[in-house]
Amino acid sequence: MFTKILIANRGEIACRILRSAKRLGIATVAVYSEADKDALHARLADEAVCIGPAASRLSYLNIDAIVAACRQTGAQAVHPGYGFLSEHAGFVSRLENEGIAFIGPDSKAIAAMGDKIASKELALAAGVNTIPGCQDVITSPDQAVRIARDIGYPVMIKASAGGGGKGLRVAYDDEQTRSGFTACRNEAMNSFGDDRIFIEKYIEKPRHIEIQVLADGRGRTLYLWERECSLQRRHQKLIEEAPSSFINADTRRAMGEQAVALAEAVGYRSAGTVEFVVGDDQSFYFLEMNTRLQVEHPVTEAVTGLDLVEWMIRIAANEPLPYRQEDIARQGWAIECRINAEDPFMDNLPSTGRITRYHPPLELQGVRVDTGVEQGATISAHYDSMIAKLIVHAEDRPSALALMEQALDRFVIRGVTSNIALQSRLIRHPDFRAGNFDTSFMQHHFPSGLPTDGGPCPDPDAFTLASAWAHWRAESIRHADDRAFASKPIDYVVDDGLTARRVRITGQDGDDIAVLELDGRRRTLASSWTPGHCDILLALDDVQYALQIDPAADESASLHMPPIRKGALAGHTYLLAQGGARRQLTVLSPAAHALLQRMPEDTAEDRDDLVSSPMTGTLLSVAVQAGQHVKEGELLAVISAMKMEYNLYAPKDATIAAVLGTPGQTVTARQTLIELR
Amino acid sequence: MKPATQPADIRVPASDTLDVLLDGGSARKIDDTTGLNLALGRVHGRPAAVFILREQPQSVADLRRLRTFVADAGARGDVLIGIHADTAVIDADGDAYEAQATLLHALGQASRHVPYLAVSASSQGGVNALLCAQADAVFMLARAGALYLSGPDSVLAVRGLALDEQTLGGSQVHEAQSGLAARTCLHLVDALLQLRRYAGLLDGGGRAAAASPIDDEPVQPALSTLRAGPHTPYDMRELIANLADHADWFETHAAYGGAVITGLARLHGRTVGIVANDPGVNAASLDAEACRKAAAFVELCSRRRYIVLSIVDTPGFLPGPEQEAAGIVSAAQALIGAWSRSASKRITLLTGRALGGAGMAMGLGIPEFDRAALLAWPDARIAASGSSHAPGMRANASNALDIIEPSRTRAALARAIMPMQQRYGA
Repeated sequence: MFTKILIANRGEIACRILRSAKRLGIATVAVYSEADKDALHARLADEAVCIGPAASRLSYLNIDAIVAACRQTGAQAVHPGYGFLSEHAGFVSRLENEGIAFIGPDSKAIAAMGDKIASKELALAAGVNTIPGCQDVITSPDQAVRIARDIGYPVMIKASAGGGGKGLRVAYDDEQTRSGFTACRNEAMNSFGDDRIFIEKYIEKPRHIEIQVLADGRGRTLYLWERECSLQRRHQKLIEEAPSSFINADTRRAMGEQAVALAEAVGYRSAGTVEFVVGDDQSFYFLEMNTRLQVEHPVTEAVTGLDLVEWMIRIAANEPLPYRQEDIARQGWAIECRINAEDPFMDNLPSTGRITRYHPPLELQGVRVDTGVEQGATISAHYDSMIAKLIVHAEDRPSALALMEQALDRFVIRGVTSNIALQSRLIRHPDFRAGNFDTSFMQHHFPSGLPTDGGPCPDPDAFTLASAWAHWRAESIRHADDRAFASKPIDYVVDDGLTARRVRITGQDGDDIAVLELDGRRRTLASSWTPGHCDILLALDDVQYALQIDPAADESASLHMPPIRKGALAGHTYLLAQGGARRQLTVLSPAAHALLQRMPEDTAEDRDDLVSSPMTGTLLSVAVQAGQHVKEGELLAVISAMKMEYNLYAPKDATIAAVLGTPGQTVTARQTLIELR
Repeated sequence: MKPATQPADIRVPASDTLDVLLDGGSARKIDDTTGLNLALGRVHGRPAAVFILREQPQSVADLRRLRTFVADAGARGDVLIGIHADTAVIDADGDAYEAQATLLHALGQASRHVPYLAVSASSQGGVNALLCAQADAVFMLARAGALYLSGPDSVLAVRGLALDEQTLGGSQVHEAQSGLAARTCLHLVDALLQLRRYAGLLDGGGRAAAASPIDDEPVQPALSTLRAGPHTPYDMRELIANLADHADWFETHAAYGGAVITGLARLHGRTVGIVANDPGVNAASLDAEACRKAAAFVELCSRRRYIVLSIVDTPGFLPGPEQEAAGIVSAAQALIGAWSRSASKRITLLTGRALGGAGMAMGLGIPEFDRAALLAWPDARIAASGSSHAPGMRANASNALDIIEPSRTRAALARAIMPMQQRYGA
């Protein structure tokens, strides 16, 4: 067994690997870029080595630096995590040459499975179902049409070296085949330097279900059941579960056996994942094999009870797997929600910044949170936007869904916007709950994220009562004599911008139980919440609720509150969130509310005259110049961040008064880039 | 810009204003004329004396009654609140000058003892502006409130300039240029509610006794990474929100003298005036404007005997001929003088650097016996003026700085503040 290993990664997966290594008593070495010098993973390890500046290709992709770090610290093995160098055959060979163990498969298996055409051929030879298609490399649009007709429409045109959604086109007829072929070939050449294209049948309403395999390289290859990963947006997974609610026992067994067959055919060793596309008739076809640990591995660990990182390390240290296939358990149901620094109310725009509050719901039984951040950490624009993985494990699917709902409602993240509201919505979606979904779900139901209010409110009364009570608590603190304050009934009007409802609070006895009256009905509310906390746990008539509450920000305060709609009154307006819904509620005395109706409209200055950057990143290009007339919706500039590009459009017809940024410069969130007239 | 509707067009009856401003059921009208309303009541339980100077002109008798009202409020210790929507005074017998002068004097006397908060709800010129400007904090209505000594007519007659009231002395002028307005408010209701918030932070309330024991103070890990590096700007307001009870604090004069942040908060139940450098503005270099803002606030806190928490991290003064011409030398000295004369109990928290005279201008360098506590984060430094390369005196136990972990700042402040008595009035 190794005495010291190096983790060639960052963030949550580095922390995750460190945890298992520590448990096994192995000394750990972390590597970090200059941007990550205060990162959690660097601090958790026994030793940490700086391997370069912020840019990935100069640090986490810098093979020389990583090898040097191994030599410097005496690390005997490297765990690559996922992404970065985890499937880089050249890195594995280099380590082999240096006599450093790679915790993963050998370079041959990585190379074989990294080539889509070659891997499909291997799969066919191993008796694995493959998508009907043609393996020949296609050299002309005419040939593409011939092959497409042969297979039968619809077809998928794919680049052999493609990945992450690039070099991929669906065609439903000859015309689309011709144009799709050309587009794919160009994109593949530009992105991967490899323009080999092939064509397969396109499975409609596909589900993406993958099989976890574990092989010890000593004759034992096992399958660790499946993971359902169909809930994706632009090929990025959002929610994963184990097991799948769709496939039956026969399909499960057949998929598992075929995955093992493929792994054995390629001489696989360590943990890997065989991805399948599954049609709505239980037919399944090989898609690709990922020769690394995957992001969503925790759901498999939950239902099998196995620590995959531990076994990857043991296998790399030449230990045999002591299990047979029939020993692999499948207990309960696990769901994972990826919590990313994205704003679902702004079309999933990435968010960067400093995390000012971070409280994962670890007090709940059955919850696991894998993360690389903590309160005070920074989500930068250099790397991906993952904040944490939230995993729940329960007896069955309904229980797991209920537990995930609770966990999401209680998860507090402030300082950067997160996609928790979107995940809450997805978990509660009737089609998702019924298991009625495929990879088109997101595009169908949430093509551009959430509406401003997040959708229907699970319990409008709870929001109204919680905000009135919270305001009452805040007022009692401001009061000169809080006991006198609490001894008299107080009336409030709670206004959400659409309706105004009257709440009477008649007081609070010992035990923190307040009596409220809404619509003539008497309610009790018990909570130990005090102002300043953004999560409220309350019992409304003995029913438990977990809500989040944020007071509307003073213009001058800057705790990075969610954006406030007009009409917010500091000290009286609260943003409540639960289950994906969020509402802005203003709590006033009846006199103040009545007088407010007679106040002039908030004619705040027209802020459309300033176009600012929505997030921190690099200004890639500016499409306009001073003096130019633009129409509403016209492209003004492009900003790059988090490996994605974002376009800035003109909010209205106007003339460009000034351009305040130059291409290539770093821009920060809310920085004014263009002034309009 | 869209034309604004003037709230002064809405003749808000006094009772409606009082019902919003004062705690429900506490309002008691004392006097009512067309030009003046007087009332007593409570604001968050604190006794308050409210006068409303209406759009209808005040008579000399009105001014005299107001003078008595103000003097009585000062003697009783009521918070004094003035809603200024006045335009003119009727000078039937030539006694207006005397009435105005004595009123101004009475107001000045009263505000030595009690907080005086004012709302500028329409245009006030001349002496009316002076009445409003005496306040601890002036809440100006955006696009409606205005304060100036010479109105548009005089300006046109004497200077030949045609300027409207807003351009002369509206909220934009006083928020950002003169620093007279503590807050700009959307409309009258907003102003009344913000005023109530301010009043809710004053002595005479807050759970001083119920403040949590020091050992129960939660650790705040986010503060350990607040400073990414010695030269990286950080969010001072995030720190203040973490230190204030219930994250509830009230900033004043946000748009003026931005290099310094001023505001009120409660710390373990006690009213505290906060004076803090802002690393996000001029890298926290003090300019003349910031010095003036801080000096006025330090003096206010002294008058009211608020405890003052000074949060220091400044590399010095803003250099340049513009600053010298703006009077930065005297502004800085006035600020240092304000600290010297201050009757407040003081706590200084050094989060970064205190270099030269700028450190003194933030309250450091005052003799030990005047200060309750001098806390410092581990990388804090104090250096004398003119020291070039030397990093200066590093914070360590031997030079009487109390080194604390950033994540435990609140607990350290609790220990410092616990022995301090709550004071209200002189």
